[in-house]
Amino acid sequence: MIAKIESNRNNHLKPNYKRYLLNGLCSVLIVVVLSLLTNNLSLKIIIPQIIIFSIAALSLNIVCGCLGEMVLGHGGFMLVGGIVASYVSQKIYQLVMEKNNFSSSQMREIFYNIGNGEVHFAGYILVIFAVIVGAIFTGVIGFLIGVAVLGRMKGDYLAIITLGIGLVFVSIANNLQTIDGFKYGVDGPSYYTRIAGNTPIFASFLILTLICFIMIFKSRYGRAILSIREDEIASEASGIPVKKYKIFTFTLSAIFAGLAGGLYYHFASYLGTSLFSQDRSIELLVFIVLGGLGSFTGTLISTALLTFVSYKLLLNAPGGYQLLIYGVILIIVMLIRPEGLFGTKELTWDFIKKVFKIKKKPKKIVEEEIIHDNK
Amino acid sequence: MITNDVVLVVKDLSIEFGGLKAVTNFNMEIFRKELVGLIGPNGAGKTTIFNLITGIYQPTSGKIQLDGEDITHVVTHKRVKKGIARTFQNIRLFKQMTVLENVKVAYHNNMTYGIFASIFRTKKYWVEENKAHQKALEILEVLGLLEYKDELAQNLPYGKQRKLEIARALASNPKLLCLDEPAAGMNPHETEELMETIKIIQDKFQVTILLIEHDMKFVMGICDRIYVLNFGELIAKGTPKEIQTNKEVIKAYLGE
Repeated sequence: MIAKIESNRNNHLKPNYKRYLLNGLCSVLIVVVLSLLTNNLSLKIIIPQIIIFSIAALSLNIVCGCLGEMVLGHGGFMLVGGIVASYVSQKIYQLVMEKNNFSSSQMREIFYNIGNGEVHFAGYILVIFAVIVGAIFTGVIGFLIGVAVLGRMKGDYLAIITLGIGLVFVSIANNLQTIDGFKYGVDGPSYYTRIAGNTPIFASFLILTLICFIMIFKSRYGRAILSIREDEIASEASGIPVKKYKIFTFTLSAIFAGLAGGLYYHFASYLGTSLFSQDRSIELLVFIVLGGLGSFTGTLISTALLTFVSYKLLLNAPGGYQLLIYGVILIIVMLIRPEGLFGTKELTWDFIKKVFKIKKKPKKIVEEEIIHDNK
Repeated sequence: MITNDVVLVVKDLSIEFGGLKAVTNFNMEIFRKELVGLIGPNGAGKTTIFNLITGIYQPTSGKIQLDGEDITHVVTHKRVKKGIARTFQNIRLFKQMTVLENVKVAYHNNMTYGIFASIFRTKKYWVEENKAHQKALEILEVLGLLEYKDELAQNLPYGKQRKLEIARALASNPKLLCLDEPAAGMNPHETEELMETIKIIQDKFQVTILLIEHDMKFVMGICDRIYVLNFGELIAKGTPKEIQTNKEVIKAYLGE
């Protein structure tokens, strides 16, 4: 027993560089494989969508799964991010065009070629900049809403409020259709600033999101947020400023929802308000509930699975029945595993090791030898 | 053990809930490293006083001072930072988190690294996280919970859950530790063990302890001084011996 305590005492937390390297290599591998897969047209459409909705679902999961507050209007935040990003990228595109007196064909040389879908370096920079501005703007909106609402409301009431917020955003977007003269809706944009099927860009954003979330949730911030989910009163009594962390989580969630929205705009060049209505918000909720509330890897897997299935059903199922099949799958999964695929667990290397029972043997032998020597 | 160094002063504290006077003109002084008991029949207002001291309720009138500083209108989490920690009568652990994490949550205010430090895992992050880790292990060791450190809190047996509550409260480095019925639901053996633990804690972490308890053997055996409440009013205070012979107290407990 004493020896055990001693070994615990010496158990310092250290950065695990091996693990970082392994995760980094895996991420690069996944990005490479994904970008190779996109030769197939249907995959070229589906993979960016999976990635974008993964970012959105992850950002919803930190509020619903980790903080424990239901949000029903997450699509609205995506819409805000998308519209702002579309405005920023189109505005800059126009400014560059007017300042340098470029013709539209010259602009295509610099930024993006609609004809063959080629994106140039400046085009990437433009899109990345626009998307980040959109995300920050959405974060500000989320922060303001959080300050106004989160201190007073929780549970069902907060859910209804977020439902209302989502409706308001969708309605505003529906009625605007142009922002400062720039179109983003069904008629197509005023200027094309697409990166369409360039999976590596989308994938890097997803990896960035994941790194942010995992690092934050494995620090004192994550512990504080999880403790609020578990017991708000005890959390406050343990010295956690509950309201501050609720606003923080809500803002973080809004930032990445806005990011997803901005990416979606630059993937499709179009923000149909019906795409981000309540249906989308509920679908995102379905993704995270199925993957497991509070599980990031679960969210990724369920998002990929369901997006893929619904896309395939949309193409192959007899007309009008795709939603029925989708619904039945959900009902069955929920009946068999109500806590979602992963519960609150994560698919980590340690978890995989546990499953395959990979253990370090040499150490044990050394201990036995010592005992033997003592005898 | 008793010194003249006052930690907590409660002056004329009153609270009303819509006309119902839960606590009336309550006065209390707690000295450093003292172990004070707060007893009284059911509904006497003991937990209400705890909620007032920890800031969950705001008093209708009166003052609370910690180390000479007025904290009457300070919110709960800031009081924790100033040095008041508590446990709950009905156990309120973070059930889905591990034992170690439960303790580390309460260490939150002793860390200062920011959001970017946590994303980029700076040196400051590792230094402070390590400090938290060692401190949490130390507390768990004192309370005999070290071997359960990676269990989920909900999987612990009842007695250990109560101890974990104390461990969590200790992690915030309190000056004053408020224990709300720490021995509730424990068998005599566990209660005795808890008495030992509380004494060890007081010695090791140099905290002042205020506790509510119904188990008279426990209270009389461990407390330096006792305050007795009935119907929201203070009816007696003194050493355990004085309280045992106090007529008012006997009347409150046994009736006329």
